[in-house]
Amino acid sequence: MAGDPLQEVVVTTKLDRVLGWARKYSLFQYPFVTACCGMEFMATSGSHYDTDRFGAAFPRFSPRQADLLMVVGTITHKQAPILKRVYDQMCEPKWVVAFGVCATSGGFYQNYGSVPGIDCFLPVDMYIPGCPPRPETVIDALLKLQDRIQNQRQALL
Amino acid sequence: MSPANSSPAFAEELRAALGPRLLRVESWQGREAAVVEPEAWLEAVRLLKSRGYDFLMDLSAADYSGFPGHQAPPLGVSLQLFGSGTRRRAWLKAYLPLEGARLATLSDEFACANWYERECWDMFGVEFVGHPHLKRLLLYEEFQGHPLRKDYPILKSQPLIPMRNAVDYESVAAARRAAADEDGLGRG
Repeated sequence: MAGDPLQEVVVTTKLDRVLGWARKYSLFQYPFVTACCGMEFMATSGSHYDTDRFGAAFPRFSPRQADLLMVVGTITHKQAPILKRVYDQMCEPKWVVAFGVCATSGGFYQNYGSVPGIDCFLPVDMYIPGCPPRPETVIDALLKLQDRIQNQRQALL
Repeated sequence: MSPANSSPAFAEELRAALGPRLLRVESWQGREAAVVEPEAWLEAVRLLKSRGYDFLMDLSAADYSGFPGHQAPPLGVSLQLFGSGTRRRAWLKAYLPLEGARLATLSDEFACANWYERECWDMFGVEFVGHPHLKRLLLYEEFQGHPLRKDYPILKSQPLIPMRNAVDYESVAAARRAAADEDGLGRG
């Protein structure tokens, strides 16, 4: 179709891809910060490492406005119903990141108080190892999550 | 145990006031603590407070069940007082049985004892008689038992919401016991 004037001004793509592109660069985080990992989370969000570069640093302190739940720190059995409620209030599509070993597996806590990993009651999309994780690890996880969002099937609810 | 003539001053004052209700003076790594009868707990604290020990630094407990060489009742409650004028410290201790562990509350003497005693109730099940608001401080109301007691199963958790792949603590504990027996360690 040489000479088609539309080719000069129109880009074609798939709906899934364009939605994925939009979603991965507009992640609104809900930081559920309970422990020392929070310091590393702040360091990563701060200007030095600056997750804003990746379009994933905008914190919303209401779960109803967020689509990325960052669980940063140890979750106790007392805290678990609260976290579950926060998750339930978030609108689809939503993703969950377990930040640090405590959120991932309970870490070195194995006792009456701690949940051995938030995947005991939440679906987790990305686990970040480390006690606490380095900012590079966090950014790596963020990029992997964005990659996943880009390539997933975009459910239209 | 230290000989009477080298007891710290606070222990001597307690001995003069309480007589045989001061059971002994314990020494652990150079630090001496006066062990009193549980019934004399409040009286001992009031006496020390009147002698200038006006600040409750800490109140805590430990379960000595199975501790090598421990003779007294297993639940040891201890506190540390500080004299802000004299800059001296006093350590006080009482041993209680696990069943019916009771002590008089210190919350009328020191306001901060309120939360220390709630924590102590929460973790060790020591009932502080006369406490104005003795409910759990850290754990949730639904929790059964007192987790820092030695007889609390070490892996037992009490989730409030359904948990997937939750640890079956009883089978894990049994496996550990079996492994320890096999090693001949006699622990578990």
